[in-house]
Amino acid sequence: MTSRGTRYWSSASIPLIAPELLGDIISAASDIAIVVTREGQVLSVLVSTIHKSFGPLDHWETYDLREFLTTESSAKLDAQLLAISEGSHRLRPVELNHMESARWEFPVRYTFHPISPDGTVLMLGRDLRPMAEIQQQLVQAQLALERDYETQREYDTRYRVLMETTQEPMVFIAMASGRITDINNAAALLLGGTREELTGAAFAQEFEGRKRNEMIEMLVAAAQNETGEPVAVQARRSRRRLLVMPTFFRASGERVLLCRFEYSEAGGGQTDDLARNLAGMFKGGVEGIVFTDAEGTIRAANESFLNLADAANAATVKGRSLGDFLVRGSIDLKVMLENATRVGHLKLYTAKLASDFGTQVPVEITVTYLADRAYPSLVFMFRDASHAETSRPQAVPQLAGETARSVMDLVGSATLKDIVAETTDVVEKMCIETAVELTRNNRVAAAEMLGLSRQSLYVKLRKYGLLARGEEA
Amino acid sequence: MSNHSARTDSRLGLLDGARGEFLTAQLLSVVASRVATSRSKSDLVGQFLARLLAAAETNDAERRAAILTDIRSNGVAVEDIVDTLIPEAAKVLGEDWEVDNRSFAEVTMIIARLQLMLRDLAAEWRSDLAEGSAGLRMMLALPSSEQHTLGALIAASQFRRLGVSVRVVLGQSDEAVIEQVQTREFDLIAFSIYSSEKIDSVRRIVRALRAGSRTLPLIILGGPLADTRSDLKLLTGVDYVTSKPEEAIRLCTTGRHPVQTGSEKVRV
Repeated sequence: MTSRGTRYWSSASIPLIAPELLGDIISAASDIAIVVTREGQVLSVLVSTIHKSFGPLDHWETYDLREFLTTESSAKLDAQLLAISEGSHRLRPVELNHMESARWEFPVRYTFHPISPDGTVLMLGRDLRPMAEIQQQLVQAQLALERDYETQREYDTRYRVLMETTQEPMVFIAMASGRITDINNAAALLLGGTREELTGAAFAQEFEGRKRNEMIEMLVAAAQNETGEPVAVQARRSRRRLLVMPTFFRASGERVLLCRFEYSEAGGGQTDDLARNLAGMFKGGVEGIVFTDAEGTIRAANESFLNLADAANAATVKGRSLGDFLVRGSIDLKVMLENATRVGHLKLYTAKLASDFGTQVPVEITVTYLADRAYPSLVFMFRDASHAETSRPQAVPQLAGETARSVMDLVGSATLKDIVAETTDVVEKMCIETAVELTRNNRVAAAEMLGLSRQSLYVKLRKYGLLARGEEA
Repeated sequence: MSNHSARTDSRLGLLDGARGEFLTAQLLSVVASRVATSRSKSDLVGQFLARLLAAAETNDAERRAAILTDIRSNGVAVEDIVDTLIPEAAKVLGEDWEVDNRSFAEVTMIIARLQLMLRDLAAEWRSDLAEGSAGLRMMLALPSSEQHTLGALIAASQFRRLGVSVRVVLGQSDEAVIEQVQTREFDLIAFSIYSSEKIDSVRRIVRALRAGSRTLPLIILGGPLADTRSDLKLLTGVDYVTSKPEEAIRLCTTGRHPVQTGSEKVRV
């Protein structure tokens, strides 16, 4: 209302309004208008004809308005009527909730206007249902938002745990800025910084002699290259030579690079002494070295192993089970895996390597279990034992002395038949004991290893007194 | 105390050099944090409630952030804003609505902004990333009909601060709440309700849970009613009624989980 208007209305020049028009004006100015006595009895109800109707409310007349209000709203009405009768009433809207025989509720914002000395009050009401609807929409939207946020929280945790625990060095780079948006600890370690230092840093600046645009272009080209050829770089802080394997993707309208790192083979010299020496031993060592996963699937094998197994190149053995190269196949493998994973290692296990072409090479195998929780793996070292076998007869004379004397005593004391039988028993007992030990007393596996039926194994175990007490029955 | 005086005061040389500086800094930070936490609740409310409400009243995000920065630059800890000022602001708004000082639309808007502020302030409290998987796991659930989420989210932030991994379930059907208890492993289930009308919802959910064969974790009920009504345990069938996260955790970890046998089941 303008000040001019105020003056107009307050200057006692309010136009006289004919009573028959007043009703129209009031009903047009409010959605619902109620005249009540000072006690709250409804004298008249006017519902706007323009407004989406509440329906006819004529039946409220003569009743107490409180009958059509919720409990809290009745109390509010009491407070308003009391304030009016005490003259302390202020012209502030009051929100009341109407209720019709508990069927439907609707909120109305009223202003209270005393209109006659006898305490009659005109209540001008605004329908708040549209407002209530908006409020409900808002509340629902907010609930949905919170629900989504909780879900995002869960995904966020997974992402962070993944980044923190994965051994593979990973970096996310925003292409537009060329800056690192996230980097995991493994990658930060390789680059020679901390996660905090490197997050937000310009990626290209972390490498020797690379300009930003040139670097990003190279990575994009490599990412789009079908062969997935990595990009060779040298880290500025750590001086390490690395291979970058970029993946290029779009996320939320932005181009993003995910870069994974590997040591460059040529850069082996840049790593610490131990790693360099180990790499050298793997590459040039006389012993065959094979890395497998926990199931015995070959992950990597060195040149010496390939020679022992008569395999053409590393690619032909990678992904195959190590059992494929052992004469006793899965039995040997099972025994080695079980024992190595249980105690951490297995020493000098004797077996024969079988090539695809049928040649057999006796070997002594040492197994070490690398108990990395995320990537448990096993290292198998193969020593060619064929040399040892052929050289053994030559070793006997050296043992001479006492051994030779006892053989001489033996020959004189029993028949050849008895000596052979006795020897067979000793050998048999030793083999069975070894098989039982190797299989950690797994009778089924031991029988399989010895090529015996379970029943025969039991007979022999009993014969040699190898059954524990209580097993006899 | 300057480093210099620390050095000269230390006759045995115990606080000399870098170690001295480190210890002094440690000492000062402990003292500073004690001073900050010793600010009483009434002081906080008296000085900063109006400012916080002003922040929640504006739709201008920058102004809101500026007011929050101002409050914090006065040495008010984020914990105090979340634990004291925001709940107090919500209480004042509720009272304002009851006496028609504010319309319900206005109150809804301001509460929504308080919730927004809470989320920003509490974002750093991430118990889920703590070392290992040990520690309590809980579900904090609201019955589907309960729309008052602010209090529950404040409680969730408090639990997270105490190292509990919290799954907040809101705006989901009661069946979904029940399903999650049955298919996941929690140490604690907490329901949060704001008004008496939701007591029935909680009772129905708890009854459905108890009817299942699975051994249930501790079930608690929290919210403003917890401090004002004494009949909630009986009416809802939960194990305990408390609105204090520390209390809930203590109940959970001291193994005071009541054994529920058929005859002891709460009758409703």
